[in-house]
Amino acid sequence: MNVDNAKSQMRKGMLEYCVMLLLRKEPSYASDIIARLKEADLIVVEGTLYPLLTRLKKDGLLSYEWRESTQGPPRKYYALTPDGDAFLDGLDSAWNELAATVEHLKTGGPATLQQE
Amino acid sequence: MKRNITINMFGSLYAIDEDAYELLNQYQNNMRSYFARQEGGEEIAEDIERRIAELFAELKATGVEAITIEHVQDIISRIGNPEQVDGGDTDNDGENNGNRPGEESKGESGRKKLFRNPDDKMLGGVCSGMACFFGIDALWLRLMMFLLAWFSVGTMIVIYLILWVVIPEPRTPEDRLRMQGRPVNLDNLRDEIVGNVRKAGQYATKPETRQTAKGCLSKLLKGSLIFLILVVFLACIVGAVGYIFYFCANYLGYMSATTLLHDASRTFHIGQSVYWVIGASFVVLLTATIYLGIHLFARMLGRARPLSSTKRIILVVIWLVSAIVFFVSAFRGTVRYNFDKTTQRMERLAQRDSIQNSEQQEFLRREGWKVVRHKNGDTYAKSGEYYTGLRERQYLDTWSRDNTMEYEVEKTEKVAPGIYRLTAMARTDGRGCDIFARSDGKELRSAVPPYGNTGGELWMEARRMSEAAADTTRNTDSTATLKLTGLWQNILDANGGKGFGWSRVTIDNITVGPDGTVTYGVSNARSGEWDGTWFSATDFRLEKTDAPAPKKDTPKRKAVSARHQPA
Repeated sequence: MNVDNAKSQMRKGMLEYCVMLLLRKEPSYASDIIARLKEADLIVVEGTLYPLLTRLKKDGLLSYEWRESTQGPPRKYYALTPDGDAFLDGLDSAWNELAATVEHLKTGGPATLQQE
Repeated sequence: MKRNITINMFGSLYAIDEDAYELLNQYQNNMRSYFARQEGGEEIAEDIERRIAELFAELKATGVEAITIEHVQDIISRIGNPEQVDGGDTDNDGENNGNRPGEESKGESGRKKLFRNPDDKMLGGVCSGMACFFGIDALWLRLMMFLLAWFSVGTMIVIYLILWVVIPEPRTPEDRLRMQGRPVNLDNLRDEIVGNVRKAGQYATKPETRQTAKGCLSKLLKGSLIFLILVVFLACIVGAVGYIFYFCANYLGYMSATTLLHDASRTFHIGQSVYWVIGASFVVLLTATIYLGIHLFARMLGRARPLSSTKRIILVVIWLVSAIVFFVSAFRGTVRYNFDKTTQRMERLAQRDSIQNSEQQEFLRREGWKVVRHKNGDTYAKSGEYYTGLRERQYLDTWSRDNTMEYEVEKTEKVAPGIYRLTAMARTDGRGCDIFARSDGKELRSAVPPYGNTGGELWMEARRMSEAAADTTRNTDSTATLKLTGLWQNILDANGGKGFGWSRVTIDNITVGPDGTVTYGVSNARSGEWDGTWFSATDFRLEKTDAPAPKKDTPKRKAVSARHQPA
């Protein structure tokens, strides 16, 4: 297992959380999300996002509405549902825990192991 | 120079090169068919299409006049192929594909698939497809196929036709790549599409090409293939229906109403489950044949989509298996059926034999005969060749194929003491058969003359008498002669005038002692020199003579002529 592979696995696990975080700020349409994710270097192929959005919508965490666009056809704007908000809160705490654990392992973890 | 077309995506128009359009169309079709399996898959495909439209709009905004294949390729690698798109959400490594296509192509190239090759075909492209698959020159395969077709007396032709039906033609550029064993990746796909478009362009400018000629030939062949299959199909139906009809008619026809229920109950016992197998396999065979036939027909008419290869193979396997099972079980059914028929016939014969046997026993009982020995002989008594020609009249009789049979019957009578004479009618085909009489501890025997089953002394006597009657009419007692002539005429006429071989056998001077018992009968086992295969005897008659006959040498003929009443 090389570093790239591990990195991509980590990103993939994060993707759902990140997409929902983006949508908490403001409803967005897919290309916006893609642009933001690309900025953050979170996805490589753009298509990946679509099955994810569809799945979250199917689970009732997201909903969308059509909005007219000045440049072309109408766009789907995705937003979190109340369920999605609650779910995201759950993810938030999970993330905090995870981050804390990682931080702990990074600073004190190996030392503790060596002591034992 | 490239041809350019205009497409409409969600209400906006884009100019796009023909090859670019082909690639894009292919990509979208792939996307659609890939996600068709998933819930909401259509929506995903449509969202992706929207994204493509958006990217096209961006290109247009930057001043791109016509979208080229490079643009499309760029967009595809940006959005990802279906596996990558789906993999990102689930398990697969999304990064793997875009950056390192080598790994993926390795995986794909291993999966070479068997297709018919539409670009290089003589008939159906089976050989060249197989050549592609096995990586050899199609020429050798064709040569081999031709030789095999010659040497296998046409079996190979049937196999070829089956392969033609079973092996699909590549329908997508991916299929073509898989057929050639080239990795299915973007570059190859593009090459394939570009190549095809170029070829299509060439064909478009030059209408009379091999393609059309081959198309005609192949259509003609396919037409005759349909015809052949329909003929076989109809022959199957007619044959099967005919067989069933023949079977029912034959089976039910000869059964009488009384045995019908009995036989029907026996028919469906375990040993005869072969009839069920015939029926079931026939139904499966018929269904598969009809399905295949209809599908093939519809396909030829262009009304149906080709079956998936798994489905084809399953169908063909089902068809083959049911055909084999049907024909084998039908064969075994016929055997079984004939076996049953034979068994029933034998049972009926045995039944008849036992009835006859009991009739014979009844005859023996009625006449008072006691069977002393009976070995290897077929019967105790028979009818049909009685010496007067009376067909219903029974007489003692037995027969065997060789001279091993032994038969002896006797009866005991109570009579007044004195001297007696025994007469009997008998016939045989060999020496060693005797009429015997036992009384007072003394046994007398008289041999039955072996005339076989024609002629006989009795018949010869009758002939002599008729000749004599024809010669002279000076007989005084005309009424007696007339009466006698009636019986003797019958003897003379028996067996179509040839006689049945009967002779009168006489034993004289039987002395019955004071206890008054006399036992007499017929036997082939008492002299110990039997070399015939059968004998018959009847009409035993015991008469009191009082005075012993003077000589034992020539009494027989005299006795016969003296007494014209044999029975």
